[in-house]
Amino acid sequence: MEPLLEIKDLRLVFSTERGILDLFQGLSLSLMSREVLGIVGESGSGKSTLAYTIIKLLPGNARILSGKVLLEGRDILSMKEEELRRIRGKEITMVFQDPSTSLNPVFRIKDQMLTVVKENLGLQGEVARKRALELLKQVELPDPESIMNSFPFELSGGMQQRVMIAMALAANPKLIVADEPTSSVDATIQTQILSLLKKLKAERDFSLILITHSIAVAKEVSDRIAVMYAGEIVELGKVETVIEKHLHPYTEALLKSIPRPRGKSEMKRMLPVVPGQVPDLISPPSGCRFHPRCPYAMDICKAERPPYFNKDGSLVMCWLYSEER
Amino acid sequence: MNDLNVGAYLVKRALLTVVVVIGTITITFFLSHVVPSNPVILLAGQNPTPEQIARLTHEYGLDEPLYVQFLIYLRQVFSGNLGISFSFSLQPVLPLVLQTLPNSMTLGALATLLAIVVGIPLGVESARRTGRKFDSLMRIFSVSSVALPQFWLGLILQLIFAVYLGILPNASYGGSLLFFDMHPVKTVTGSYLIDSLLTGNFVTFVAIAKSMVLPVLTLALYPIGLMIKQTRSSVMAALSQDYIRTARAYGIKEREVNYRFALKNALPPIIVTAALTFAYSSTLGVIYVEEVFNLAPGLGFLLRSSTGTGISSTGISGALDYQLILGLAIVVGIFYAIANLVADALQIYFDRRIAR
Ligand SMILES: Nc1ncnc2c1ncn2[C@@H]1O[C@H](COP(=O)(O)OP(=O)(O)OP(=O)(O)O)[C@@H](O)[C@H]1O
Ligand SMILES: [Mg+2]
Repeated sequence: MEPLLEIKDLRLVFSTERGILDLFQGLSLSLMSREVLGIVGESGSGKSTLAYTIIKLLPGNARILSGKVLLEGRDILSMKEEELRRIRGKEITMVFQDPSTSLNPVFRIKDQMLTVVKENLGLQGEVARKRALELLKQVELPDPESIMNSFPFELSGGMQQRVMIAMALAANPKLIVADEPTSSVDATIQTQILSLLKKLKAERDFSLILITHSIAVAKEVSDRIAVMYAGEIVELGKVETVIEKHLHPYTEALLKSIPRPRGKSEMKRMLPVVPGQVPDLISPPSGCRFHPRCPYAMDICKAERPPYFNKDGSLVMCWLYSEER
Repeated sequence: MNDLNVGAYLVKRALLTVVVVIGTITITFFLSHVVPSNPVILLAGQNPTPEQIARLTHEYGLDEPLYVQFLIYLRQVFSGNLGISFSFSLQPVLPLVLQTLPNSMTLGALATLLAIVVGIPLGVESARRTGRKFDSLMRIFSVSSVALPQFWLGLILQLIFAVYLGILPNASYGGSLLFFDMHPVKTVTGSYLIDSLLTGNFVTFVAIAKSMVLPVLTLALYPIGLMIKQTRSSVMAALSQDYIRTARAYGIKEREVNYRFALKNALPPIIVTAALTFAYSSTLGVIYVEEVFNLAPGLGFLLRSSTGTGISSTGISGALDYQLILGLAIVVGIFYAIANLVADALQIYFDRRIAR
């Protein structure tokens, strides 16, 4: 089966005042229809940038040197603005990390919902309004009528995020990219939002890319997990495999950093504490980017960027799994 | 949103406005007495004797201590009396000012409208093209429009459009000093332009409108530059916000992103600029324009007369007409205060978070 989304050998840099920041140096990834992919990694690993690349909504100083992002075979990176606009909000939608700044503060929810519904579904008037109300109900918001008339600042963080999710669902997209949808809400709300995503996923057939700091969150909803480190996907595999038979030393460190849940419902939001510092990508470490922090680092790790090795059905970018070793 | 909040906020702002106006009166009163000048010489006729001057000075209470004069003046103001003008043959100040205000306000309003209609779109376009050619062009334009002396611009426009091209009148409402002798306009609001329209006098209206084109352009150039600059910077700030990224991620048309989602967030400073433009263009801004284009009656004309720099009805210049100055200061102050208040109300209308 042809994948829904395919990222092929993506090379991307940022021009900054301090020099060229070399983020992706040949990143590849594919996603099947209806699949849920969790992308996990520390701050600065390039998760958001990857998300924005998928809808080609990158900051002005980002430069794509090479690569393709194929949505059902169509290359998004070579599309013109108008073509992109017809994909954004319709085939691919996004849920952002901080709903309080991602919703427009001076428009009522109804103005924002209706704009999205009208633009992406071509509905008008009362029909559009009904559709918007229905969407708010689907994300389990109580009293959709009054939500419609509210301004974002009148809603709680959890409610705001549900509104964002409703907007993301509006056009029945093929792919929803959720960039840390739960990292700005507290633990209880986080659990609620995750189960809402799971429920919606069960009802409809979109694919989901769930970006998160926390491997515990990714585990909740994902089919597969991609572990990102300093612009590289260092490990990619089925959830169980990644959690139980993790391969990459970085994954191991991430797993160790999961706070032990005390109660069953308590899934604490916490930044992974992996010893050491995320490298400065303006002058990235040579070879494997993780080697300065890696307890198993060998000579070859400093010298050469590892290729992907296949192990237990997972892909891992680490010299430890080299055959010749 | 709680309407009570909005109401309370506006009442608070209105009270503040009253304080500002009283402050304006106080400062203007004492400032205008720093320069020693006795306005009674405007009344005393040719070669008055010192006795005559002393008598008149006493008669008008000008020999009282300053704070007594101030208190008397304040009481007078609060009973709606702004005193009398010494340079306009003892006419009461308030009607004098109110007569001239409508024409000046019309000029100010048209200039403001032009600044909004031209400046906002140019500012938005400039913001979405930062660093590109169009943006640089707009920056040059707005800097030079702010730097260009108004009277000089007025003269140049007159030269081009009235003298060389001959397509617009050179000066005066209706294009000639005798215009209203031939085309009388019934006074309704006091603004020639509006009154000629209200009374259905279309030929007159067109003539007056034509005579106002150059003055309004002259008056509007600086506000247009200011508006471009303000719109550019606040729209730019809005465009870098997360909610704009959201709008783009949802496939919203670029036009709507810029002119609806970004612009509405960028409005507060733009509204303040528009309000101050209106207050300025209707009062202080018209001083040169009304002179260069010989537009009377108008506030600019009164302002000049009150400071002895214009020609007063007595033909004597160089003396300060305190009461007229104060009256004008109060009216101008109130004008600015009201403009600010309206700006506040509009800002709340566009962004409810302000009144929280
Ligand atoms: N516009 C930009 N200009 C320069 N560098 C950038 C820009 N955007 C991102 N970066 C850099 O690229 C790297 C990846 O950033 P990105 O925001 O994609 O990471 P992330 O994994 O989403 O992090 P977080 O978990 O904090 O959201 C970081 O080193 C960041 O500093
Ligand atoms: Mg991020």
